Formats: sequence, structure tokens, C-alpha cells
Amino acid sequence: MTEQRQQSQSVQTVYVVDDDASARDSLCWLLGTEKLRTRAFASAAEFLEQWSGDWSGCVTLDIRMPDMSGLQVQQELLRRGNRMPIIVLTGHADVPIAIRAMKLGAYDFLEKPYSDSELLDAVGNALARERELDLAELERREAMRALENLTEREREVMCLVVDGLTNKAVAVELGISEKTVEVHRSRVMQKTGAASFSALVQLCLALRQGD
Amino acid sequence: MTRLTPRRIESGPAAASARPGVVGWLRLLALIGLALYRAPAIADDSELTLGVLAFRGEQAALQRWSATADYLSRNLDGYRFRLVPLSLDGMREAVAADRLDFVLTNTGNYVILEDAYGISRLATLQATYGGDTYTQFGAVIFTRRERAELNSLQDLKGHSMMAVSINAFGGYQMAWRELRAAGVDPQKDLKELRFSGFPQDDIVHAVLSAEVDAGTVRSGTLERMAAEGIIDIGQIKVLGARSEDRFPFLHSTRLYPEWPFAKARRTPADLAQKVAIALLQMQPGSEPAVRAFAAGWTIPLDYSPVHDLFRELGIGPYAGLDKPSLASVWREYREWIIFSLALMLLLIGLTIYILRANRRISLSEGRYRDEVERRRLAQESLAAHKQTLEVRVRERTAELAEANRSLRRSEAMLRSIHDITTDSEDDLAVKLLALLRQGREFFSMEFAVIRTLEPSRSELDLECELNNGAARAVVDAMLDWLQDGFDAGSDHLIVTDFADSDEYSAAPRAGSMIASPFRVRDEVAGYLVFGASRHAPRAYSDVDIDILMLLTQWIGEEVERRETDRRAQEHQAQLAHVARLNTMGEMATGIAHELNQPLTAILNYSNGSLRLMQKHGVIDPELREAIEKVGQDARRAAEIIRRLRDFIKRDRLREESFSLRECIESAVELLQPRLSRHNIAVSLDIDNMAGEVKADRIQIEQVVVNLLLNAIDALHASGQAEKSITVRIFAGAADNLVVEIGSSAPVIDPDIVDNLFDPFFTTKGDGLGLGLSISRSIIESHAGEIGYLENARGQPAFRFILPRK
Repeated sequence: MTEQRQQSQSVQTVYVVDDDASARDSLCWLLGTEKLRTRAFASAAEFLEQWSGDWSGCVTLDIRMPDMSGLQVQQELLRRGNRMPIIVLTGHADVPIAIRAMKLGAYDFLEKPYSDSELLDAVGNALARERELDLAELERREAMRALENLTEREREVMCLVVDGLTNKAVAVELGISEKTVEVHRSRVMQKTGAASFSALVQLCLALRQGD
Repeated sequence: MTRLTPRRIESGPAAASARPGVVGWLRLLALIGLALYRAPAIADDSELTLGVLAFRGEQAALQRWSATADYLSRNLDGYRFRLVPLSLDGMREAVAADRLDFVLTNTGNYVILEDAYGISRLATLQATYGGDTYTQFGAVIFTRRERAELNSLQDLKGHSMMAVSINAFGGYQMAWRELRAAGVDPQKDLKELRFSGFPQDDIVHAVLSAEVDAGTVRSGTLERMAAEGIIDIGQIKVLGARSEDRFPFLHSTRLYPEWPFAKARRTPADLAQKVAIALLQMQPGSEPAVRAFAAGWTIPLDYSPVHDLFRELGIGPYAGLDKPSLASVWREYREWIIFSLALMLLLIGLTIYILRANRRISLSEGRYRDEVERRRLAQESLAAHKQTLEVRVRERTAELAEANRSLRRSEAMLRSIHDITTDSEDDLAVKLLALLRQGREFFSMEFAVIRTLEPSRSELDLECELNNGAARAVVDAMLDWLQDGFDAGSDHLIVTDFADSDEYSAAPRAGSMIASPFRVRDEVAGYLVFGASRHAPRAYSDVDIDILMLLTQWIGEEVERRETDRRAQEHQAQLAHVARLNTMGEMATGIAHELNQPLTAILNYSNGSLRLMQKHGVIDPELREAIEKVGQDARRAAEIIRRLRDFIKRDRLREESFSLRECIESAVELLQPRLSRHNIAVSLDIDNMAGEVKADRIQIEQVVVNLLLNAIDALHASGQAEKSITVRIFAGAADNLVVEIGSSAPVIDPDIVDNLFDPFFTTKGDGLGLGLSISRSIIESHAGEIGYLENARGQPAFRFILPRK
């Protein structure tokens, strides 16, 4: 009953990975009281098997599981390019393990039994963080789409302009007239929908970050 | 048989000349002639003539003494000893003619020759009988047991007796003396005195076969014959038996010294000294000794009892002192007297001639007198030499005796060192005190002290008989000097008197010590000191120093061994302690984990319920309070678990740099008894690049021990014949070290591989199921990893990875 199917990719889900049924079920139920979508996995293997890069939300990961430790799952997710924040849950707070989990990019680290508010805050923050990351990703994708419409020459002109060259310098660099540069530049502004030159620079930076 | 008087002497010129009462002229002539005639007797300087008495024939004498002659030739460079067997008469002749350099003859003959020709003894034979040695002997007078009427020497009057010969010292003369003392004159009072010659066994047989009533033989003869089974000694009755002499053989006479080895008067003193030394050094059991029926030679004994015998009997040198009656002389020596009278007439004629020649002679007489004077001086000098030789022999004998005593003491000391050190006593201090006591006595010192330098060994600061202030002051001063003395690397120090030395001018008073340091792991760890608050009581030899060094060496090694043992024990105890803590910790962690899951669920549900109540506006204070209490109790339970775990896991990791290789070797050594019992071979395959890690050594060793124990159990359970464990250490990715422990056991069932590291998971009947779980906790607390795999050879293996840090 706690396991709810996700409707669309844009809706965030909390992926609960824990080998202990009562801990797993109760956590899903608690998250459910806050109207959060959850999806539960009884083992690391099951979770990794079904994992998809399209998933959105966050992961709560029990550190001590029979088949694979939470740390190993973290490593595997890192390798696959997972973007979801991971909250590591542990039965005992070993400092060295916490440090290693953090080094592997864990978003938060909670000791069982946690208080409801502690957990819900951590999950809330994780989801917000993921949304921020998602938003940046969305912007990046829109910019990509806009840039895809540019011609080869328009893209060359844009790169040089963004690098800070004057129209004249761009003309010399590309062996064309300064007038032609101006035409290309206005087309670039038009096609990308950038309101200003600085907006264009931001667009290019977003694109490069995504590379 | 013939009855003979004791004074009868065999014919021959030498016998005649020795006889008193013969014309003085003849003696003078003989003396002069001898003096004139004395040419150098030794043709070849390197050949020395040794005359031996051949009382049982030349062959027997050669057989008995040729090894002794060879022995002397071997031991005296540049000399060769030629053996000349001689009869009693031949001996006398040869000595008189100065043909011998050395003389080996029986006791009685020696005394006669000593008196007549100035031969002098160098050594006395040590005879052997049945493994014991004797330098004296006597004679036994005996009859058959059944002769009830014969019970004392007096009883022999009117009975027959058999002896060797009238000249036999042991074979007759000894018995003669005792019989005479008992009032029995053998010549007059016996029914018959019969001389059988050698061997003496004939006399024993004659007595036992009742051929004669009694006999006398040299002491030991009866025992030898009984031992050879020739006679039954029970059939013998000894007459006039003596027992006061601590002499084991039946004897009826006083005891006299054994055969002497003597030198001729002219034999140089230094040569004689060399011979004496060689004889004294003859080893018992060596060929010359065995062939001579002897154990060797000893310093010459006192032969005056022999003189007493001769004097009492009026024979030998004392012959004629008790004058016989004229009638008996006429009866005995009639032919001689007639012959002598004729000779006297001849001599009177000669005298006239001589008187004429007297003038000529008086001319040369001055020269003779000078010559005689020179000879007298030479003889005095010889006597002095003889004196010196005797003093030297005595000194050397004393030295030998002292060396012997010292050796015996050293041997006793070594035995007590052995006894003390191998004693089952476990307390080192008790053993050391015993050694101090023994050593103090051995070195003849007042007190003994052990002082250690390390405060940790202060329980070994021991002392023996150090109970007065003066001694304490000496010891304190000593220890300061010791420190200086031994820093220079010396291994022992002997100070006979501090007061004698400038170096020790700070000495409070007179004092002496013999000391040596003991070393533990090549470091001076302390000193063993034997000392006295006075001048050293004795000189210390190399042997003494060796014993001192032996003591300090043992002390050092024993301290080192015990400390090593103690460290190994401490290490094991530490490992066991850590194992216990780890087990408790792991149990607590396991329980915490198991309990935390339901507690987490309880809290999730109770807190979630409160949220929902809030959200749905359900206001039921009782219900709300109850749910809140559920949550509070769950948190309390969680808190209890956390405290329990914190209490047990209080110990932080004690990180140090150490060699992983040594750590693994130490674990293998710890388990060696078990490995051997199960006949499991362990091979180490260690990459030289492996090097050191920074971690808690005991904890890592615990992991290795756990993994090895699992491998041993798996191999044992498999029941297979070939059992081996391979430990590999190699450098891993990044800056990691990898340890892999594989075994030839079957691989682990894939169904349980996932659960291997779970707490309380076990496949062993008697296991707690925490070993791997603990190992994982330890490795993870070192930021490492541990896991199971099948290695390159398809064998089951556990591998852990540690960052070097």
C-alpha cells in the first residue's frame, strides 16, 4: 500500500532501500503521511537492477545490508552518473563509515532510530536540492535545443563573441566583413531568445557545464 | 734343602770388596784403581742406559719395562733409553762399574745400591691392583686354614716355611724381620727354610698341598690368585695379620715403599729432573704404565723403613755389624780365609814392591788428592742438585695438587650451577640467590651482589651476605667504577685491592672484587659482583673467570628469555583482551542493529500517527499521550542500546606504523600449534613493496587470526589430505595494501556467501558467528574493506584492503 507507482518523471519520489521489512515499511508509511511518493526495495541488488537515470527524487540507503553495503551501492550509483541525493541510514554511527559515506557524495547521514522531523527535514532538503539540480538541467536542455537551431557559422560567431572578441576581431578571425558578423549576431540573439548579451553568455556557460 | 745363614753372599769380586775385614791395602788399591780408571762411561751422549732388575728373567723384564724406556725416549728430546735387564748381582756389578745412567730395581736392592754407590731415587712406582693404586707393599705369612695349631708367628717354631730367596725383599726379608721381632729366627728355629725362587705361586701351591707348613709371599699375590680362580682364599690362614695400615691386602708385615726409579750418582741433575718430570706425568692407563702393572709414578717415598729392616737384620748395607762367632766364620768361610791368607802373603811381597814405588806414587798422590777433592766437590754439588730436584718435585707436586683441588672445586661449582639453573624452581630471584651463594663461596668472597641498570628489572637487584655498612660502602663505590670499567667494553674486572690502585683512590677503604656485566639483547643490563671489604682472598685463574662469565652469560640469557616469554604472553593476553572486547562490541552492535530496526519502525509509526492526528484534527488527549509515550519508550530503549555500545566501544583505535608482514607472521606463529596439529602448511607470498601500514596493530592481527582460524576450521571440516593456507600481501590500487588469505578447502556455498559477514551467522556447531562480523567492523573502522572471493587458483579466499595512510 505504501508503494505507489510514479505517475510521471517530473514528480519526485523517495526511493527507500532497506533489507529490514518493518524499518522499510514504516519509513514509507511515515513519508506517506507527508504525501511523499515512495518506492521501496528489499535489497541493494533489486534497487540497482531497476535504477534508471530518468528517476527523480532522493534515495534513503541503509548502510548495512547482507548482499552489499550501502557504501558499495553509493559507489555503483556514482559510477552510473546518478544525480539523486542519497541519505545514508545506519544502525550505528561509526565515524569512519560516516566519513567514507560523505566522501562518496552522501547528501545526509542519519542514525537509526531517527526522529520523524530529522528524517523529514533531511528528505525535504534532499528533494529541494534535486529540484534545483533538475531546474539547472532543464535550462541546460532548453539552451541545447535553442543552439541546435543555429547554423555552423552562427555558432562560430557566438563562441568568439562570448569569448569577449569585438565584432571587428571576429570578422578578422573568420575572414568575413564586420557587417556580416553583426547579421549573424542578431540572428543568434533572435534564435536563442536571449534578451541581452549577458543572457547569451549565461546560456553558453550552462551549455559548457553540461558537456 | 740347604740351610743358609742370612749373611751368606754370592761369590764375586764385588761381594769380596764390600766385605769388611779384608785387607785395607786392597781397598786402597781398588779405590785408587777405580779413580784412575774412571773413563767417560757414556760413549754416545744421546744414549742412556737404564738397568732394570730382571727377577723373573730377561724376557719378563723387557716385556715389563721396554714401554717405559720408549716412553722416556719419546719425552726427552735428544736422548734414547737403552734397557738392560740385570740380575741382582748383575745390577750391583753394573752400578759398581758405573755402566748405568738410571736404575730401576726393587726396594731392598735400591737401598743397598744407594748406600754403596750413591744412586738416588727420582720417583716411586704406583702399583695397581684391581683398579686401585698403591705405593707401598708388604708380605703375607700364611698357612692352611685347617692347621689349628698354627695361629701366630711364634707357632711357626719347629715347622717348615717356604720363601722366594734369601735376597728377595718382599719374598723373604720382610717376613724375616717380623719373624725375628716375634722371637723366631728363621735360620735356627724353623724345622726347614726352603727357597723356591720365582714364581711365588709355587709357594702358595706348596703350602696348600701341605708340602710345607707355611709360606711367605708378597702382599696381593693371594688375592690375585683367588681372583684368577686358582685358589680358594678360604683355605688360607694368615699368621700375624695386620690391619692397621689401611691397606686392602692381607699382610703380616710392615709396609715398605714400592720400587723406585733411581739415577746413578754421576747422572746430571738436570737430566734426572727431566726424567723425574716425565715419570710423574705418565698417565694411568697409558701403555708404559699398563705394561709395568702400574698407574704411573709418584714423588719418591721415604725408604728409611727399608734401612730399618736391613739394620735390624744386619744385612745389606748393615751386613756384618752384628759380628758372628769366630767359629761360625771359620766354618762358613774356611776356604776364603785360607785363600785370603795366601793372598796376604802375596800382598806382603807386593807391599815391598809398592813401598819402593811409593816415592813415585807420592808424586802423583798430590794429583790424586786434587782429583779426589774435585770428586768430593762434585758429589756435594750433585747432592745439592738432588736436593734442588727434590724441592722442585715437591713444589711441582704441590702445584699439581693445588691445580687438582682447583679443578675439583671448579667441577663442583659447575655441577651446582647446572643443578641450580636446571632446577624446576620458577622464581628467577630464588635461582639467582642460589647462584650468588654458590659463587660467593667459590670465589672465597664476603658478599655477592646483582645490580641492574633498568628500573624495570629492579626485582633482580639481589644481594647475599651484604649486611654491614662497610661492605655496603665498598659496593656503592664499586658500582660507580664498574660503570666506567665496563663502558670501555671489558667483560670482567678483577680488583685485588682498591687501596693499591690510584685509579680507585676514592676507595673508602681496602676492598676487592671480581665482577662481570650481564647483557640483555646485547645491552649491558647489570652487574654481577663478588666482593670483600679487604684484600682479595685468593688469586683468580682463567677458569675462575670462565665460571664468572658463565654465570653472567646465563643470567643475561635467562633474563632475556623470560622477558621475551613475558612479552609474548602479554601480546597474547592483549590479543585475547581485544578479542573479548571485539566480541562484546560486535554482539552489542549486532543487537543494536537488530533492535534498532523494530525501534525505528515503532518510532516511525508513533511519530507518523501523531502527525496524522494533528493533520486530521483528531483531538483525543489520552490517545495522543499514549502514542507519545510509545515513542518516548522506543527512544529510551534506543538510548540504552547506544550507551551499551558506547561503553564497550569506548576504546579508540591505537594507531601505529607497523609492518603488515610482521603482524601476519606473529598471527601465524600464535596459531602454529593448531596449524601443526591439523598438519596444515602455511605459505607466505609477500610482495616486497608491501611495507608498513598505519593502523591498530592488535586489531589487524585479530582480523588475521580470525581469518586463519576460519581457514583452519574449514580445512579440518573438509577432511581432505592436502591442507594448505596461502597468505598474500600485495600493493593494491591507490595507496592500499591488500591481504588475501586463501586455503585449499572447498569453496563456500553461493547460497550463504551473502550472509557470511552477518553477526551471529555461523556454519560451525560451536561458533558464535561473530568472527567475520568483528573482522568487518575492524577493517571498516580503518576505512578498509573486507570480502570473500575465489582467488586466481579457484580457492576460497578472504581479502581485506587497508589504506596505508
